[in-house]
Amino acid sequence: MTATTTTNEAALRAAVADLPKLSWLAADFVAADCRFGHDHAGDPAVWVRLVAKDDAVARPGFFDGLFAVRDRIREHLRNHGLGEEFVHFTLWSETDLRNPPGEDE
Amino acid sequence: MNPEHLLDQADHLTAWQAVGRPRSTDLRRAVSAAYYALFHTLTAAAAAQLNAHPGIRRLLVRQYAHAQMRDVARQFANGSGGVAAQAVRFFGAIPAELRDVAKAFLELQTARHAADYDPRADIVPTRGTAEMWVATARRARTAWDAVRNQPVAEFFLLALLVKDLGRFAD
Repeated sequence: MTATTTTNEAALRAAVADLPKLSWLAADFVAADCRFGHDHAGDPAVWVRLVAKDDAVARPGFFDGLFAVRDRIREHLRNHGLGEEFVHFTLWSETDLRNPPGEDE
Repeated sequence: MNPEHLLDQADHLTAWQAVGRPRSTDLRRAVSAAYYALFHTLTAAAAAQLNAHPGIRRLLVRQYAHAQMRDVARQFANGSGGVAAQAVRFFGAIPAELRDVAKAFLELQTARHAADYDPRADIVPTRGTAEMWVATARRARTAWDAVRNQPVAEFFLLALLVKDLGRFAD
């Protein structure tokens, strides 16, 4: 079976960028972007980076709720033209944006 | 290998250090530990199904291949296609808990592969990403406990092990 890849990457990028405007994400997230590629097995994939508010990531239970959030975002993106790519996630905080992670010296 | 100990280790590795945020090496190892916590949860469950000498069960565990497990997890995560379609025919719709386990496995393996093998600095997991994967592994273990005694879960364990199981399952 040949995977159906997203044909309109620009539209999907716009949908990802708009994620923090959604009512169910706005309280905890300030930005989102994505990159297209292939996973280590060669299947098409999308990596969505979510940027969360610093006080959100410090809140007890925040990480426990992310599984449902990821599922809901996948569903949302399918409704905005996502193909068969599996959506992976990374999570940054506002502090990470100001001081990006890198390899140790 | 005790999966809970791996998750305890991951917690330790993601904790703030006296000198500031965790080192990138520690965060990479935490992601890897989270993946292996789920990996060992599933392979230990498979071994527990086998009423055999412990040495035989250890041999069984070592037959599980990451690539095969990934392919099957992807099919079960989607709830259709390949051997997951066979599971639906035999057992009805795949339980949400089992789909969650499969999805978590797929996510964790991809994250672990990047953490262990991708040297690019921009791939370094943030502390939040590492904590997300640790929480995901814990949640997947809870989901697995809820579904593990169902025949479809036993079929899942077999499919993770046997390549092209669908060819033999009719």
